[in-house]
Amino acid sequence: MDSKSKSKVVLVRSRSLRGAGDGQSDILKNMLSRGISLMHDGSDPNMIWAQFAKNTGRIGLKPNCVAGRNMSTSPNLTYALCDLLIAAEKRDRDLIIWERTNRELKKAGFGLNAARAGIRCFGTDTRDVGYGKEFHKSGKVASLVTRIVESECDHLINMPILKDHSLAGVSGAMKNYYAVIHNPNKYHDNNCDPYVADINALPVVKDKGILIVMDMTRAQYNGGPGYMASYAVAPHSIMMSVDPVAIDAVGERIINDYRSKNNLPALADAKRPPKWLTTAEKMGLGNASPERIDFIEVEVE
Amino acid sequence: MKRRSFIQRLGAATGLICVGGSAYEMICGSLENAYAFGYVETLSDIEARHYEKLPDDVIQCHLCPRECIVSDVERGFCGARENRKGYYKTLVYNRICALNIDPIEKKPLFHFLPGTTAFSIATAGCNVNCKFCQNWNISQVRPEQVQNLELTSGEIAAECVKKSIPTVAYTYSEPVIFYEYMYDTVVRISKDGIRNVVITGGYIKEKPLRELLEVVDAIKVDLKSFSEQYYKDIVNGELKPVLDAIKIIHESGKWLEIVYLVVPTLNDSDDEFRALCKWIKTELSVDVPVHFTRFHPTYLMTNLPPTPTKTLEKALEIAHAEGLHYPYIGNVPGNSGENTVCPNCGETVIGRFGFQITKNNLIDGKCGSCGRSIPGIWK
Ligand code: SF4
Repeated sequence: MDSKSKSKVVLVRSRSLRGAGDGQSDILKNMLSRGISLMHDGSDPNMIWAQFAKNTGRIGLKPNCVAGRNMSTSPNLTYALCDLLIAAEKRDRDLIIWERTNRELKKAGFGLNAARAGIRCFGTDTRDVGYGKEFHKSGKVASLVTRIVESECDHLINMPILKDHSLAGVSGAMKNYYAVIHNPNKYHDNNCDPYVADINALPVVKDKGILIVMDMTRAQYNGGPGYMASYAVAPHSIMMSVDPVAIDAVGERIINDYRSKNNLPALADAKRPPKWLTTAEKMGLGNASPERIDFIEVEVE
Repeated sequence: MKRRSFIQRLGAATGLICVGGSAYEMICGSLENAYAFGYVETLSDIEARHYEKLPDDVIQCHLCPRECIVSDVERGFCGARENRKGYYKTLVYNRICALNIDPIEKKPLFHFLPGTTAFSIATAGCNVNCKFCQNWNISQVRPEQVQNLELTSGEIAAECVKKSIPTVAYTYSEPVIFYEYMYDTVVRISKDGIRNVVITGGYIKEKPLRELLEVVDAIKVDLKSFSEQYYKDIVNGELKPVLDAIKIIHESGKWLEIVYLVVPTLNDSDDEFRALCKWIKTELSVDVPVHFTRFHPTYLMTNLPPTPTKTLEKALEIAHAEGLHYPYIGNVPGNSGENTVCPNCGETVIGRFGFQITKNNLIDGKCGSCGRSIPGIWK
């Protein structure tokens, strides 16, 4: 990520979207295509998906399934993206939807498939998967890395859902990659700073990232990362970028807007400022400062 | 592994001990193929103790000085406790990932039933993250990442009685994080006259520690250094709460031994040895055994050499000079610093080679040569 140039973050909203988009695959595909087009200055989305399909090997898609069906990345959105890539001639078996555990994937509504055919979907806890043998180190982080990222995938598409996080402040793109490592509970001190940045600076993560699609069909502005109905909202949106820092910085602003509307203190005043955004920016992982982010917001049918 | 074959293996291991005196078997999880055996789904769902409920289903754990604040679906630093809808659950109750029948000298406890064995168990997880951890593959992982076997306190008691094992040791990872399982097992097996020893980093809050001290027989504390900075940089913990815990253990009257792992260049200065010994002398007693043990490179600290024997001998010399009665050298089999020497007559009371007892001249807890009382639990 070249943090010197401006980073584009695109938000696409569709008022027609209901909840997680059950039975609304076409709307979700339309949103994804509009988003990818805007990320590339209005280019033909089919051409961009075709490039994606051609220039990438096996792609790992990482939803966030920690909070069960109500506040995890929508399987509808995940499969809509897969459909677009398959339509652009990506082989289905080269798409791997993955999480830490099969249990989390199932609870979020994904159908498991660890076979060789079709879109694959499995957790690190699948037989013969597990974690690699070598420690990956970055800053204060030293961890084993899931073999899905280490050796099964050539590229990664990050598919978080936007949530409040009781320690990190924001659970978005960067926090989603805590699932890469075997010992995430060791990295929550000090509002997860610098750990969120360090994990995203691991070469095995940083060098493989090609796209972020943040699920904002639903979001949660307080009480996260678990699901709390009273703080859940439906922004009817997705957000896309290639800059994990920029998309999370926008995510922070959106969460704070909801908090303000609901008479809650801003994350910083609630003792969970996402300080790791600034750390990540300093490390050159992307742009956190608003003046370095080109935020585009559009509405589609 | 099914429980029956597990117990059979345990039987075989115990048989070896009867013959050889120091053989043991270890069953230990590994991250590779971590989930391949099908019994990881059976993590426990038992409510933890020593926690407080906060608003919005958040909890705060008061078991160790970290005092993790944990939201729903999240875990504390140790990875062995999870918030489930505002209830804090231990995931490792009755779930062991390591078992040895060890010589008690391996703990090391040198003043506790010498020459006997301890049924030694651990679960996954730890509340610190020492860069030199020898058991990182069980301590620095989440319980679902190792092979867990279900073993109840009743089964442990039955095995100990059957095999005449006098002691259970809670060890290897960090027993503080499997506190509920440890506590209940201690209470249960004590009824059968079996002793309980806890091998810990001593990073525990006062209330749970005092409750534990009511029921256990001995505690060995790994004091990793005598410097706050070292605890911060190398251990990912704090020194002061550990020193406080050691004082509480000593005041309780329960048997206490201290281990100090000497890591080259990091905690091996004469000044630090001296400060530690002075502290033991003034805050505890000259009769508290302290073991200066040898470091071997492992885990995240592979860039340092093993501790030179002469460094350990220097530590021993300083301890003697400061007036400590029972300083030892550890992990150097055959070194004379392994022996218990009478502080009165200077004769060797208990001779050791590694984990084996080579001489025992202790008579009714007294030096066989001069009759001086030697502190410890001897029968
Ligand atoms: S025992 Fe575990 S959860 Fe509790 S405070 Fe310590 S590290 Fe945190």
